[in-house]
Amino acid sequence: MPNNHFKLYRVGLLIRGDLANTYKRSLLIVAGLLAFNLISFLTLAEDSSYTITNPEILPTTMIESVKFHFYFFPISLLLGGFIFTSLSFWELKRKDTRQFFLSLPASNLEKGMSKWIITGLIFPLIWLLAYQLFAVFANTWMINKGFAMVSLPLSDPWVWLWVMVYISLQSIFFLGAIVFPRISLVKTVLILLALGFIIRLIFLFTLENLFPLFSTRSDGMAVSEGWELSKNVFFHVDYVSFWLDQMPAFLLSVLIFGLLPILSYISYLKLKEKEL
Amino acid sequence: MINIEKLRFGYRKRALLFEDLYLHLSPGNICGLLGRNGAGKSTLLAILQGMLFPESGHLSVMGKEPQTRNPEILSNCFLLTEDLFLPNLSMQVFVDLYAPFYPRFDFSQFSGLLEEFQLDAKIKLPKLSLGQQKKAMLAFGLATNAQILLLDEPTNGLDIPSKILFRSVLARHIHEDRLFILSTHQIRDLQSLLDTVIILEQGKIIFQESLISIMEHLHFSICYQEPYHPDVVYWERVPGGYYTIRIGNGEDSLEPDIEILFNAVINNPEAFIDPFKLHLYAK
Repeated sequence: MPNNHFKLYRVGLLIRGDLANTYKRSLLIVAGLLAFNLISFLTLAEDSSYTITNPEILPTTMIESVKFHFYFFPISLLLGGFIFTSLSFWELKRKDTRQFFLSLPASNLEKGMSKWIITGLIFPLIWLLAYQLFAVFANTWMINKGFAMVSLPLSDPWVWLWVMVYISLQSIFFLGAIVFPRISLVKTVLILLALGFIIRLIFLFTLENLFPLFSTRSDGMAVSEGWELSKNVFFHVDYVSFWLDQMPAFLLSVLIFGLLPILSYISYLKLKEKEL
Repeated sequence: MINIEKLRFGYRKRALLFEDLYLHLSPGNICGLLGRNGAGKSTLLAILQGMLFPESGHLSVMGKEPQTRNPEILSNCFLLTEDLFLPNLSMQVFVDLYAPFYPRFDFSQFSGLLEEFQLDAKIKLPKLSLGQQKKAMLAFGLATNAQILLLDEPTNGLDIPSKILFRSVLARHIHEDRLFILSTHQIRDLQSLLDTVIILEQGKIIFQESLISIMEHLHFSICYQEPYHPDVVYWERVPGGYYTIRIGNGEDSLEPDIEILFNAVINNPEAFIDPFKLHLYAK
C-alpha cells in the first residue's frame, strides 16, 4: 500500500509555495541582519579596541576581527533565525490563511517538515552565504584602511557548531510559532524567561540546599557541615567537578540529541491539533 | 459519500452547536444547505473538510475520517469559503504552485473556465474584485476535479450575469461521481440548481429531501384568498396572493419556492414529518 502521508514531492511543493509567498519578508530579515552587522562593524571598527592604529601590530588586529566574528556571527544567526522561525507559521494567524494552509492537500507531517526545512536548514545556509558576503566586505574595507582582517571560513568547525546550536534552539521557537500564532517571538521569550525563573527557584530551594557546591556561597571545597547525609549517600566533590567540567559538551549533546527531536515531535502533535 | 452519525460539536466556551447530527449524502447531487445565521452551515462544511474536529460521533467522507487531513481526502474535497484568502500572486503563478497538489487537476479545463469567466490569469489575485476572485477560485476548484465541492455562500459578490454563468457552469460539472454542497442564504440565486434541500436548525438536520420527493409530497400554489384547507401546512403573503404549501400527491403544482419552503420548515417542522413519512433525522 503506498504511503500517502509522506511524499518528498509534496514537501518540495510546500516549500516552493511558502518561499513564493514569503520571499520578501525573508529578504527583509536577511537585509536587516546584514544592516545590524554592518552598523555594529563600522561602529566597532572606529573603536580603539577593535582597530589598531599601528599597522605593525597585525596579529592583534586579526585577533580583534576574529573577535568580531566570534560574537556577531552567532548573535546574528540566532537572533535572525529566531525571528524568522517565529514568523514561519504566518498562515495560522488568521482564519482565512489558516483555512488555506490546513486545507492544502498535504499531510500535517509534510506541512511541518516543509516549515522546518525552511527555518532549520534553508535559513542558516542563506545566512551563512550572506555573512560570507558581509565578511568579504568587512575584510576589503579593513584592508583598504591598512589593517588586516580575517574572513570566516566555512570549513571552520566553530561555524558549524553554531549552526547546530541554532538548529536545536530553533526548535523551541518553531514550537512557539505553532502554539502562539500571534506575537509568537515575544510570547516564546516570555515563556522561556518564566521557565528559567521557575528552574532558578527550584534550584534555589532544592538543589542548593541539597548540594551546597552548586551554591555561589560554596567555596568549592568539601561539603559544609550539616550535610553529612548527602555526602554519605552519593555526593562527592570529584563527581560534581567532573559534571561541571563536562557541562558544556553535555548540554550541547542534550540540546542536539534531545531538544530537537522532542520539540519537533511536540510541534507535529500541536500542528495536528490545529483547527480553524 | 458522506456519512455523519450522532455528531456532536461545539466551539470552546460556547454552547453545543451540533448534538446528534445525522447526514447521509450520495454522489451525483447538488445539495443546498440552508439554515438561519449561526445555525452552523459553515461549521458543518469545515467539519466535512477536516478543518474542525467533532467532539464525538461518527464522520466519514469517502470512507475516511476527514480529521486525519489525509492528502487524498483534501485533494478530493475542495472548500470554497466565504472569506477567501488569496496570496499576492497572479492566477497563473497560483496554479503553477498549487495545482500539483491535486492529482486530477485539469489545466485545459481551468483555462476554459477562466476564459468563460472572462478572467485574466496574469492579474494578481488580490487586485481582482470579490466576484472575480470567487470565479477564479471556483474555476480552480472545479478544475481540481475533486469529488466533493463545498461552496460557502458562493453567489455573494457575484453580479447578475455572473450568477447565471455560475449556475450553468456548476450544472455542467456535476456528474454521478461528484457531490456539490452549497451553503447559502441567497437561495433564490441557486434554487434552480439544487436537487436536494437540507435544512439545519438548532444543531440538527430537520429536513433533507430531494426536489423530486418534495414535488411528490407537497403541493405549491398561489391562492387569492387566505387558505383554510386542512392539508395546508404553510402559507405566506406574496405579491398577488398567498403562496401556499399543502400536502400533495404529485399533482401539478407551481415550482417549489425553496425560500418559502425553508420558512415553512423552520416555523413548523412537525408539519413536514408526516408527508415525508418520518423521512427526517430530527429526533
